[in-house]
Amino acid sequence: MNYMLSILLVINCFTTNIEQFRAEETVDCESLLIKTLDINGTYPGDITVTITYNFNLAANGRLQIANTPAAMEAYRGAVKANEAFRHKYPKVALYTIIMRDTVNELCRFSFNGKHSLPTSAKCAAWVENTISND
Amino acid sequence: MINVIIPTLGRPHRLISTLQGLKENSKGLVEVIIIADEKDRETIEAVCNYGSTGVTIPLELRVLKGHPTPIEKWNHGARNAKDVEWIMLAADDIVFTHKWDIISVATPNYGFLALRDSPTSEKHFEPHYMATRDWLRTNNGGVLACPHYKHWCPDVEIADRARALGHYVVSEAIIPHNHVIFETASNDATYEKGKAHYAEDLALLHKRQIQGYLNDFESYL
Repeated sequence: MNYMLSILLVINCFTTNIEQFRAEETVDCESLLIKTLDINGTYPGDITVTITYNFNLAANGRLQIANTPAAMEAYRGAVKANEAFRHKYPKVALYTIIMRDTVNELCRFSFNGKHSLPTSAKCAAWVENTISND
Repeated sequence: MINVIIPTLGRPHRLISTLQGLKENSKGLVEVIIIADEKDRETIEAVCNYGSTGVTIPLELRVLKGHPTPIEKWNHGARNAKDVEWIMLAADDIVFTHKWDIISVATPNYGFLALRDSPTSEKHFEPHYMATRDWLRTNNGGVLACPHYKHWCPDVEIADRARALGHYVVSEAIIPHNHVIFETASNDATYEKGKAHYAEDLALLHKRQIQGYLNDFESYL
């Protein structure tokens, strides 16, 4: 699989405020398991690249991602895309992979001194279906 | 105000004791967020029972799917903390002493306070700390704890960052930390789980020290 940055057009995951990039830079987000890729800043100058993954990269750290084939493949792809980007735009001063917190919160309670209060219907349903049925 | 973020796993009795200490020894400057695993039903039920019996401090329990690391829990809590000035990296094995909140905030500081175990502590870093939202934004990449670690070392990294700026200040409050590595707590499955990541986190710390502690993660504050 070729991971070079410009190979495939999956434009709906990619946004940028930089005209030069908007014209030609595309990324096969699906194959890289990338959910969204946003490039913003001033070119040439400081550029911030935000990549949101479809799996919990932040949980494992950029250098220690989950040891599954899909995750490893996605990470290698992101690295190659970075290299291609750097090579093509050497004047870019800052290139940052930014990772989203995809920790999944099931339920949240607040307390009023008399009751524990699930703060959403989803949470109340979770309590009903799991805690109460143990 | 101080938002106290407490990740917990499998220690309902210690957690409730910590919460009781917070309730009795804080002087109105705290809000608490507890972060628990979905499978840790005993803890969830203990907090719900505690919260339903006269708790007088603002308290919130967030239940996460799967088995998040303590670093993820701290960051999830901080990400969702109300817009208060201070955020504290706390734990279920620390002891909040009398007026700790007032004493800490009154300690002259630059926005970062290490929370010492004892009056004689001379460590290069303290395992728990609090920082203002602005300080974390400006000097710690906009996070409470570097998300690349799994269990250890964000305390060392943030201490190094604070020292480099001349901002490393130790709170005048004493907040004992009862931990198995200090031989002040008995071992348990949670400590054992943490030990598994020690070498990996330490290697990452050394690498990040050499790189100069890059902010190569998402800012959420």
